[in-house]
Amino acid sequence: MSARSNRLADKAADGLGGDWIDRGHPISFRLNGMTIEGFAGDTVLSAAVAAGISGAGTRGGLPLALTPRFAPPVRPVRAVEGEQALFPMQRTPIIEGAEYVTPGFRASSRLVRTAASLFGKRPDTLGERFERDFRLHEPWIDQAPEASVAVDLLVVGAGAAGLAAAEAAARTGLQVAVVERAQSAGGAFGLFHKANATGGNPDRLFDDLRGRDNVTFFFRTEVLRLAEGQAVAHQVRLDGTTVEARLVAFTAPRIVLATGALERLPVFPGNRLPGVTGALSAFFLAYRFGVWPGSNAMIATSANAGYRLATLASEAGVRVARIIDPRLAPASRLVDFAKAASLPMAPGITPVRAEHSPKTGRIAVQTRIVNHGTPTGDTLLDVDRLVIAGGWQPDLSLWHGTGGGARWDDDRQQLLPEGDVDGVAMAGSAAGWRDHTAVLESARAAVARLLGRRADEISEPYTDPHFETPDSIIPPVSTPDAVQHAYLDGGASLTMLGADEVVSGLEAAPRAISIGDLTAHVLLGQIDGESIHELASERCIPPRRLVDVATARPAEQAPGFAGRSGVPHYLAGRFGDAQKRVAIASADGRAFETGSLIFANSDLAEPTDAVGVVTEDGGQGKTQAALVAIRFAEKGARLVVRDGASLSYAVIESDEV
Amino acid sequence: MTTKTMDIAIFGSGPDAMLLAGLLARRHGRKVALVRQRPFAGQIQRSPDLAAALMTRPESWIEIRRGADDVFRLFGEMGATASLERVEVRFAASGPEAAEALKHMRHVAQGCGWAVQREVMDGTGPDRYAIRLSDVIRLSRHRLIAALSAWAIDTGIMLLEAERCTSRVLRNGNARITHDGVTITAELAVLADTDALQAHLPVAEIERHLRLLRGTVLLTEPTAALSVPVMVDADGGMIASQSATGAVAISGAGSADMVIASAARRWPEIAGLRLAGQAMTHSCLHRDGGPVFGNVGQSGAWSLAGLGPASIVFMPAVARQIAGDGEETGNGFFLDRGTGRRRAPGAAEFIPLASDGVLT
Repeated sequence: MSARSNRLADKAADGLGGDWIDRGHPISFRLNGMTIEGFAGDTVLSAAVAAGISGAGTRGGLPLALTPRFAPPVRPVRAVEGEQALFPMQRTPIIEGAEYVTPGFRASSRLVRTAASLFGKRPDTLGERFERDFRLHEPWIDQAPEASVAVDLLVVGAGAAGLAAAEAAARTGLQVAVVERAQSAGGAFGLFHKANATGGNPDRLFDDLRGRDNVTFFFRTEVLRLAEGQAVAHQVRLDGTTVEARLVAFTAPRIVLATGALERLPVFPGNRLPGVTGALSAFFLAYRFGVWPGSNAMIATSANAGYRLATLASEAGVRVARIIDPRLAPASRLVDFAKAASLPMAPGITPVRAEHSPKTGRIAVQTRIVNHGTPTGDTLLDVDRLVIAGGWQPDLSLWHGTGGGARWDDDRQQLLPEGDVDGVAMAGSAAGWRDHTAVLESARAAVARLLGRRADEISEPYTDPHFETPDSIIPPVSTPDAVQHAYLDGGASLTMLGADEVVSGLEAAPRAISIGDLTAHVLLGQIDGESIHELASERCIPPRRLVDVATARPAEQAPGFAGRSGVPHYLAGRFGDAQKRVAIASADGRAFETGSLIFANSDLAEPTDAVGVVTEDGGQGKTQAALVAIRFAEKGARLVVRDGASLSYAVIESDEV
Repeated sequence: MTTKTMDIAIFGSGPDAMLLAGLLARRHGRKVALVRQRPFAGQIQRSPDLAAALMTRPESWIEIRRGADDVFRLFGEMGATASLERVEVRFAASGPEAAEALKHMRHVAQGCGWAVQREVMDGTGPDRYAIRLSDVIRLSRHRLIAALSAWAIDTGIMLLEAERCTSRVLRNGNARITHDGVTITAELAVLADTDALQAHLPVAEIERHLRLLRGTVLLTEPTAALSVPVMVDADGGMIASQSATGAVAISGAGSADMVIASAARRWPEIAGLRLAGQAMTHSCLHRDGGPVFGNVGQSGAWSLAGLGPASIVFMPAVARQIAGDGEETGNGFFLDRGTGRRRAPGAAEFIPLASDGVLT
């Protein structure tokens, strides 16, 4: 592995190395003035990280990591200026000779970067500035769909659960669409299981489904919003040598949400510095693209999958400096494999701070012993990379958008989906299932439920904690000095500890927040578990702006108006049991405004004393329709019309209209 | 099992129910239990609390004025005057029917003593007709809720969390509640919000007399001060209300997609704002669009529905009506607005919208 090119050796049979890239097909493109070498199959993000770009920019003067969960959009330099031309780095494939810039990139920066490159000092950041009021610029979220797809059943997510749901639906003959954010199927299965595992292996399921006529896959496609049988998704397409993007509206009476679980960010100062990354992000980059920055790493994990990642990284040539785990005696077959590989492990240890050296790019990790919850002792370790695995949280953002409920599970410290939504079913780890068999069963059960069939019971096997220690959480560090340096989540909300306390922030300066922000606040004791599900359903929504995307059906008038015969329904009984429409004319030729009140004489002015109302506008000197109490509805009767302070006389010209 | 006997059990989770419970206990000496969903910080307010509404009947405006004066005094006694502010409210219509209703409303409100100005239309915007009401009292719920809760609890009402109760409302209007092994009985159940109506009224009675509307409330991120802090769309019934934080809450009928598109089209000055949250809502009104005070069909429970954003200002009069005390006994306004609906004068109000998919 070279220092500049953060690529692992070619993929081993069951290991890291990149199964989505073609190393025989190198591609060169430019990003913010820098020449980047990648391979066919790379995304702009994976190629950039492989080329040594570890930072997205700065926030509050501190560098912020570039990760699959957080990256600015890019715009092709030759594209017409405009929001339509922005693409998400994570889903945009690289093409030969393309040149991209990020939104904050200035031409003057290009000269500086080019000069630096000449001296062999390529910047390791995209140089964006993410200040306090920053919102990730994703202009596609509000655009109108350009294409539509109608199917019998839509599956969101092409991991193990999504593929199993698609297979179950396809077997019944339904037309199925599978939408997946990444460029191929498989999800995070390989982080938890051997790739050659039998029974519901995603690669095999995918191979089977690709051959079916009634299943269509939409890759590099992210569902943005979901409501009433329609999902609007943003799709990036590689069309020959051109990258295009569009919004697609999927219409389906049945939708399975297999959106997986989000990685929980352990809260400690420096948790989003370049060089610090989540285990799922690290696995995704290494497994799919063969990207692993640095030659050594510390793994801080409270999840058993962290041990599998450490083992895989070690097998791929990464020196695992240490695996630390706040659990005192973690037990798992994944832990056993790491032990067998002689990886150094330190149970009962938790990270409390990370610091980034701009000179070396290395990370200094401060750790402490966890002894019955009381941190004691400090150690410091200097590594190229700190990988953190702080447990999981089902991804419920789309579920919440449909009106789906949730409940807080105190034992698991997770928000889990609850309740029913017509035409929508949750499956897999998004539904809270953990065991692989249960994940697959939940997918089949979701399809059965949507088809109105009896669903088999889902069985999540009980494993004795003595043999399989449950995943836990890395204790948050909330000391005063952690404020401004510790983030609550790894995504785009950029909520920092203390600076944006959720509860006060929700009322003082409302903004959408992430489920990760909320669950972190529960761990910090700032929100109680009983209200988190309600807050989450109202505030953890997909990014959205108030834009008229013309998806709404035109409003129809109330039945009260339909075919009414001249008298609005809200005037029913207004002037007594009997009232009548008449034609009136002003005594002085003026026109009365509709709604003007009519009185029996000029002494009366209270609306409750009114005996009628003008019901239709008329031109000057013309007769107008009015509604009056029957006892005043005589031809020739003289009445008073009040329009604000002015008063006029009117005569009933006809007692019929 | 222990049994407690109360005079009245109120089912409802908003400040209306809380105020009503406190008033019945403090002013009218009733023993009151309040069964409510547990409130949580940061909850999006479903509708602004205003001393104005899209109403066309003079009796409604008179009651709003009376109620607003009473509530204003009451909140002063609670030390909650900081939760009251006077704002301008703009009502606008783009369609002919809504414009016609607004024109009538202008004359009625003006005649009832409200400061109403008609806007001059230049024909460039979506509006056909618009009026502004000045000096309209708006309550800041976040500021109000602490003072109101303390005041209500001080009256000695029994506060019960709905999640921990098993409740039943009998046909004769009695309520029977089980909470932590204690049975609470009350002579009269009051159903003070849509959730309570749906939970405790027979479906047949709801279908016969009421309309349930599905809606959405959106909350935007803060923005600069709008031209008017409260805007009412008479065509669709949407209300946009900007709080002191700069955030705008928009409530309307239909799905989130429908309200987002309608609000962006209707109010260009808030188009493009980023959403900070959204919630689905349900509301309930009489089939003629007017409010409901009293028994719904054969149910003996007292029901409140369709009061709109002015609901809280009706509460002092509702408390008097329920208690049967003083001048309110036989008040025509309330008699006309039971679901029996005396024939004349009518109680129907303008119905802004009933689009496909909105009615549930």
